[in-house]
Amino acid sequence: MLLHAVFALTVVVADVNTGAKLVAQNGCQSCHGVKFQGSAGFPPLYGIEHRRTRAQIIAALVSPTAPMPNYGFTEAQAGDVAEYLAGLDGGASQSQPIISIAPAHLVDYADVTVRFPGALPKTVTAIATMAMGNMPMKSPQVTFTASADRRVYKGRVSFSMSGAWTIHIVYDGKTIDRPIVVGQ
Amino acid sequence: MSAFALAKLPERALASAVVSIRLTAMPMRYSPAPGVVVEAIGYNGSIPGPVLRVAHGQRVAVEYVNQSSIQTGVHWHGMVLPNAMDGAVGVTQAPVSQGGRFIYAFAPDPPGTRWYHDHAGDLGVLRGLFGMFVVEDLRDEPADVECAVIFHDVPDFASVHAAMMGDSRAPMIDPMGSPEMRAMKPSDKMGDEVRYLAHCINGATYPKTKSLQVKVGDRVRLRILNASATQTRYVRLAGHRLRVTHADGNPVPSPMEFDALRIGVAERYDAWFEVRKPGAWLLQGLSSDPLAFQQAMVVYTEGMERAAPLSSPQSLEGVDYLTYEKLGGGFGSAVDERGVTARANYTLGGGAWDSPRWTLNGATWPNTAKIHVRRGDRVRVHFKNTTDMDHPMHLHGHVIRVVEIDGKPLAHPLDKDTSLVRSNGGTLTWIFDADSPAGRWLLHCHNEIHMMDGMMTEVDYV
Repeated sequence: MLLHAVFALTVVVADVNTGAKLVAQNGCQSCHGVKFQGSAGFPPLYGIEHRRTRAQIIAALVSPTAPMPNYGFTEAQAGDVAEYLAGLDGGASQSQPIISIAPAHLVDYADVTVRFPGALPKTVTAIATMAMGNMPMKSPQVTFTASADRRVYKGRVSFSMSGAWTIHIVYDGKTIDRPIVVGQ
Repeated sequence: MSAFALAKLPERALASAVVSIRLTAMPMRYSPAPGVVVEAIGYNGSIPGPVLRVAHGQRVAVEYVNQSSIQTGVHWHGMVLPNAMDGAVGVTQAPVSQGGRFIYAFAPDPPGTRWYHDHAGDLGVLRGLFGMFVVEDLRDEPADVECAVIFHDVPDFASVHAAMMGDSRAPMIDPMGSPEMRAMKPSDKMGDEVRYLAHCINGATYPKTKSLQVKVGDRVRLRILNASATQTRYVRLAGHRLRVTHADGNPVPSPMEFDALRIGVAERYDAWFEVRKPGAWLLQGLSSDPLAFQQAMVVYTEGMERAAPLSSPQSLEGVDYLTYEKLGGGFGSAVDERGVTARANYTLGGGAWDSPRWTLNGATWPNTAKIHVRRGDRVRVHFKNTTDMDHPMHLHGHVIRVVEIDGKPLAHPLDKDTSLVRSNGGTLTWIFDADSPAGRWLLHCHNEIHMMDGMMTEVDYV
């Protein structure tokens, strides 16, 4: 007789946008660079998913080594941050859109390019927000235009003010948040 | 141990009646953070300048020399001293130009955590000309460890000039949940914010900031100064509450504990904590700037210097932070106006987008209405703030008593020299005794942009 065991499977799905928020709130860019490029004594986080396993990244966040502070992240939160960091250069997964933002030093606008390696989207739009108390600053919504090869969409998002903005890229009901720093 | 850890003053230092100090404003290249290099000016080649320390009752003779190319003068913030020693260039003395020299001689008074900084209208504070001045009160409860903690920011000068013109595009960087952020309205046009390249403690950014070593059982006294030119600072020590005993160097009505301190520009708080177990914790200035993490220093017990220090979230949601109301024991029934012989009312205004004007009763310095007093007067000054920013109002050469906030009397008035007047209709009232040496004493907003844009007047002894 077969004994049927019922496993309560808890599938933890890391949330890239929660990760983005945690990164912005905890000031990771203070040391690791506004584009996560690293700085003297601080490793670049861009492409970290190619140099460390996910488990290593989570361990480094949950039990950090000085001067990295202890932010009190739970494993789930660390997973969200790892997921966000993995997405910076397009992600480990081949189906995730690859986002690039130019120019290197953002002032008035950002030219956003999104490449869709998997399924093609119907529409792509973007809006940028900056949290300012009860009044989030908002950029005008931009509809992206498809390039000739249909996999690449481009759009220009403009900013009224410098600061810590988040670009929200929306396609087919999904949103990808990308925190950026706008200078002046 | 860093120069900011304050060891007990040696007997020899206490023995002399006059302490001689040499202070030289020197141009310097300053790199507060990786990739940030600015042409700055520091007292004796350091930013902040040296921590000056005397015991209450000693006199100082400061030989000040200016080697920089800007016009300068040293103001002794929070001191009651002869008017000619106040360092307010254009009011109490001529500027000290390049190669110039000035002798400041006075008896530092009252005791407590004071500071010194440039006051010549050439943006000296923003360039690095500031430092702490501790006037030891030998009657104070002794601390096991004492440390000067100076919060300051390194500006992008293009944004300083834009902010003075009212068309800066720099954002607010106050932490989420702060009254500054909560007060934001869709109609706020901004334009007055300075963009900072680095947020520092004692001259450096994390992890280059000097750490403070403590022992289990130590009672630690932090003398905290917000030397930022424009930013209200929220200060928190992870894993601890801070017990505030002095505000702007003056004893508070009764010491009180907080999760975090809200420190206006130029304000100081003496904050104590006890080390109960081994560990490593970050003392932080909180903000919503992506560079916020720079403003942190480690406090650790021996053996924990390699541990990852515990940090605090960059938000004030649910955090019990210092307010004048709490520190003043809540609100009482009425302001004690006995003996008041002179009154002045100021409406704080200006700050429109694209406008270089911040005003007192609609006028800008030097056309603002002055307060004329006679020695012996008791003066009541009432501020009403119609602008969308808080203003840290400062009076030179006096201790002021904050007696009322937003129409409600404080149960126990606070003795200060600088106090924040809340934005969007907030009010605040001071009472002070005109018993300082006669002369002209500036009264102004200590936000450097607002002061430069005219939010200044004076108390004139007739």
